[in-house]
Amino acid sequence: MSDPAVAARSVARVYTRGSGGALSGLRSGERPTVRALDGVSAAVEPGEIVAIAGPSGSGKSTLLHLLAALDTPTEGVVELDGVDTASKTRAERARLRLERVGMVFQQFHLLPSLSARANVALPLIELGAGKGERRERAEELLERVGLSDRAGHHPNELSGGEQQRVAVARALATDPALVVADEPTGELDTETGARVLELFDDVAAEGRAVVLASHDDATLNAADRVLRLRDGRIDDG
Amino acid sequence: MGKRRSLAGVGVRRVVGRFKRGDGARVAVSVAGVAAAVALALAATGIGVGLATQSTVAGEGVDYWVVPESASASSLAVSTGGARFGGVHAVNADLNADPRIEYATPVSTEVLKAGGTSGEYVLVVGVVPEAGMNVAGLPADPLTEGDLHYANGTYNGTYTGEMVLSGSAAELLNATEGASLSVAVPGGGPKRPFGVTAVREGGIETGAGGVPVALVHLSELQTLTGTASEDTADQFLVATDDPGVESTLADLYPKSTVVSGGGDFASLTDSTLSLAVALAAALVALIVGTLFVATTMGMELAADRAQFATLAAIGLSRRSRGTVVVAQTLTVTLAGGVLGIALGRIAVAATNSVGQSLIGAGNVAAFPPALAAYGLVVAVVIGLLSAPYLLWLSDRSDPLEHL
Repeated sequence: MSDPAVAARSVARVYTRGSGGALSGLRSGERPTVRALDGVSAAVEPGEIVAIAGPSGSGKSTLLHLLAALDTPTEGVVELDGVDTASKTRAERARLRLERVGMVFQQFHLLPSLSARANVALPLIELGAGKGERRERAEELLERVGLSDRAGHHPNELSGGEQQRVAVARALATDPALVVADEPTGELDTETGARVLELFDDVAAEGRAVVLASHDDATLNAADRVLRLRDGRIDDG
Repeated sequence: MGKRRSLAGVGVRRVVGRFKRGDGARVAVSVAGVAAAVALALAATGIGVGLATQSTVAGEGVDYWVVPESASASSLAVSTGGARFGGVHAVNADLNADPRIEYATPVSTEVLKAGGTSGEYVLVVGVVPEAGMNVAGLPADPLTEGDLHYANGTYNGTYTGEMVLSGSAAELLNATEGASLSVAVPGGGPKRPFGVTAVREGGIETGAGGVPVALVHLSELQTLTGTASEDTADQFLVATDDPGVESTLADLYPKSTVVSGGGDFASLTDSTLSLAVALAAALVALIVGTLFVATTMGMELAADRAQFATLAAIGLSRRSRGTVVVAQTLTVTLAGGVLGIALGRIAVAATNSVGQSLIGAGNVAAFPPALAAYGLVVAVVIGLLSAPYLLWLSDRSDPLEHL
């Protein structure tokens, strides 16, 4: 068995309610706290698709954020490609995400002023790739998601399904070991959603780990394994 | 460098894209705010430039005035009466022998009566003409070069009787080229005949219109006014491109002052009032423009938090996101600067038009090309001053909150 692409060991995430009532990421203090995750352990192997399921407020997004190094645990350890994310600074975690994590969001979050090609190439700018290299890589990825003829179109000229495929292409731009997606089919109709899920199958077939957070049965069915969360804990029942 | 350029390109495209999608209202307000601030700065500075250049009697190319110590910069070239220099022809010959000097001339100014029996008062300016010389806004070329009547101090040389009239003097005296005029010292003093060799537009402009000016040979004016025995003049005008000449000029006479300047934009620094006006206008423009851009672009960034959170989530560093924000801000302020330059030019033209129609003055304001560059600099500074606040705002776009 290979090393996991990402692993969470006994992680907890505790939010402290700020004076304004909002939750903030403080780790201790006298103020009321919310335990969004409590002692969760999970590992995702390369080539595996794992879905995180559970009702609203169960901690799905919190776990996804921890696995993607967007956040760090209050307790426990998250290792991304063998790197303890909590040991890294904010800037180092940004670099870690750039190089090892591809992210896909429910609402696509493409930059509306950029073409599909430029959106896909965006992470490559940060990596310092030249213009020609960026263009070539972006077109290759758009071809893979079946949008080579839409490379010059802007997001407002694309359907929801096409925008999500562009987002998947952007997530793959830096050749990451892990792809995480938060409700990737939440804004799509069944048929379009199915096509996007096929893309994730292809991504996993390339040896990447895929983590999908979703309510959607079709998405859960597409996964190799489902982690069910309830009140911040793994629901074994 | 390529990475920064690419990120700056993303910032520029974000601004352009807003307009293309018809979603650029807030950006348009930012551009308009900067344009208004830059136009204000340019209009006020243009008026300062206009006033400064009107206060000088000498024409373009004259870089130094040497005046007696009791004279002031504001009395340059129109200091009739008061302290005077003596032996000016000999000093002038020495100056013109200096290869660094394009031309030099002593200048004597007198208000004299010209014309028929009643006559009209005109400002008569005596010079030693040289090719290319321009004094009191009039070219000296129509006068015979040199000062023949002086004749090595004998004042027995050929009396040319030549005179160049400004347009306003010709109109006042009802004289045209070739006309003969009698010029007299007021109060029944001596008189001399002069012939109008040329009428030229120009002369001295004041807030109340043009001053009638007549340009003549210095020795002929000295003979008329009785100053030939001491060979006096009020000042020297010296045209040169070499700033090293200034020390030579300072040593010409023991009690003299050298004033630098000319018809160019740089001479503004000699005018405290103009400088003060320009500085105040620039300060107001920077404050107003910065507040405007910080507010409207701040609203723009607040609306775009999800986009900046996305950039952070996919791994763009804080510095890279900052580059996008700064490029976006500078694009807006530069667009505002270009629009502001156009508006400033219109404001200067409008000011001149209003000045002309209300008080009959010539051009009150000026718009030299350097003002356009100045407008762009103001726009860039507005962008740079707004940037820290906008960077702080964009840095608050936390992916955990906004995605």
